[in-house]
Amino acid sequence: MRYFRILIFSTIVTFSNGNSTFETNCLGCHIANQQLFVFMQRYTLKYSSETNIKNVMIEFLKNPQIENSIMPRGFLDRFGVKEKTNLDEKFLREAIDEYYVKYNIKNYIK
Amino acid sequence: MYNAEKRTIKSVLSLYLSSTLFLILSLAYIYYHGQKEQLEATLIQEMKSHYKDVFESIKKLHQKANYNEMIEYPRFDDFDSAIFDVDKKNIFFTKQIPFELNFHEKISYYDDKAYFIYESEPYYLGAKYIVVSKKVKNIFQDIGKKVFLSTLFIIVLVVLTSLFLVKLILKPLRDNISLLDRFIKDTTHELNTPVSTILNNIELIEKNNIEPTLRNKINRIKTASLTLSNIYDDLVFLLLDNKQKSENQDVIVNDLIKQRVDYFKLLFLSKSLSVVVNESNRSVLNIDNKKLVRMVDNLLSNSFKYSKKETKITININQNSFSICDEGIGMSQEQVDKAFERYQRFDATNGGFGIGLNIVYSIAKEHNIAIKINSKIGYGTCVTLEY
Repeated sequence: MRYFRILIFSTIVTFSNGNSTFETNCLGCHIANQQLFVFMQRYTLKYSSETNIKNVMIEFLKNPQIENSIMPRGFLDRFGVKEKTNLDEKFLREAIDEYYVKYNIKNYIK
Repeated sequence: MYNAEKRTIKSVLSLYLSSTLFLILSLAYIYYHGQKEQLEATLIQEMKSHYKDVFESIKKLHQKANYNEMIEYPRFDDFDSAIFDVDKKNIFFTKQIPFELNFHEKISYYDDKAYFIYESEPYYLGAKYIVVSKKVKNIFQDIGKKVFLSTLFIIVLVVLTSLFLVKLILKPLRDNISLLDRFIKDTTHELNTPVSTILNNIELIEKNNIEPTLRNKINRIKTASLTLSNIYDDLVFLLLDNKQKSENQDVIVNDLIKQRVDYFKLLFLSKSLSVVVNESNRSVLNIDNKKLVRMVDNLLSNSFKYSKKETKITININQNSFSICDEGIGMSQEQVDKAFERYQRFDATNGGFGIGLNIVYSIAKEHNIAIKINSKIGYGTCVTLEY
């Protein structure tokens, strides 16, 4: 299932000249797959469902604060909270949808 | 077995059995629920342990998961599990749940499996709900079956014991009744010859050639003998005839009634009773002749006994019914209701054993004849037989 989703995701990306919203706006900074996977792992642990995870991610990206960050305090002290996104709601949702498909931990269970 | 004995056994048994049954069923119910609760508690404990196994396993999986490799969901031989997110959406299962889970019910049973739902936090692998299921081998049915079989066994035992006890208690009574029966049978047998002799000899006397005073005396002897003969016939019927098979034939009711009225002529004359027979139709009844005679004789005998002097007995014969009405002392509704019971007598001044209407009732019942009694105290009684 996981590979099937990634295949669909890759197909979409390929047919849109490789410039998906997620790749253009997120992968520029978050280059390590494992790092993105860990973020999703932490979101899953706290918020469980797809709807909840996507909603809190949007909330955070629109208004990043220490209080609504998923990362541990030590990490935030060291790297700080990311900047507020410039993407509008539509693109933001697209990017998060792509991110969820690719790194959702539920797709790794066999 | 006598009817009274049967009735006693039935009432004692029903009372004893219903109270015992109530007690047994209450105990069985308490036992069943006790056992069920105990088994459920054991099952809950087992399931909780399985849940902990799943929780610990998915916790480890969540912690060691990384981008480059798949993680293998824990599988156990003796139970299945499934995990659901906070929106109750299935994340993974080892065996599909064949029905719609109600997450408000912590325990569900489907087919032969029990499903236990546990809530967990944090949400390892996104799981808020961990469902653990396993076969329960119809344990509750097993308890039910055991309880049912034990209850059945006890009931059978109680029935047999109570039957034995009732028979044991009633034995002296039964012996006494048998003794009485034998005595009546023997006495009845001994009565036949003298009564027949008296009646035959009275018939042989040329009454026209004797003095009126003596004729009256002879008539009174004949009347008394007829009454005695009727009692004798009733007793014979009770003791012998009602146990024999009926020899049914088409009997012309009109002729038989007139014949019996003639037979009792002297009896009626002794009280100056006039007997009026109204025939609207010819009535034919398929019955054993002897039994119809017993019915008519008893009804006529009762009419005679309870009639006031110088009154009228009216007999109406229709196609499918006949009635015998007197202008006697009458009965209350309560007495009418009890009229067919054996040994019921409402007037001690008249003779008899109280068996006449009981004989009428038993013959009528055997031949599906309906009996109606219209009676009013002080005005008389009318007994109608419809067939």
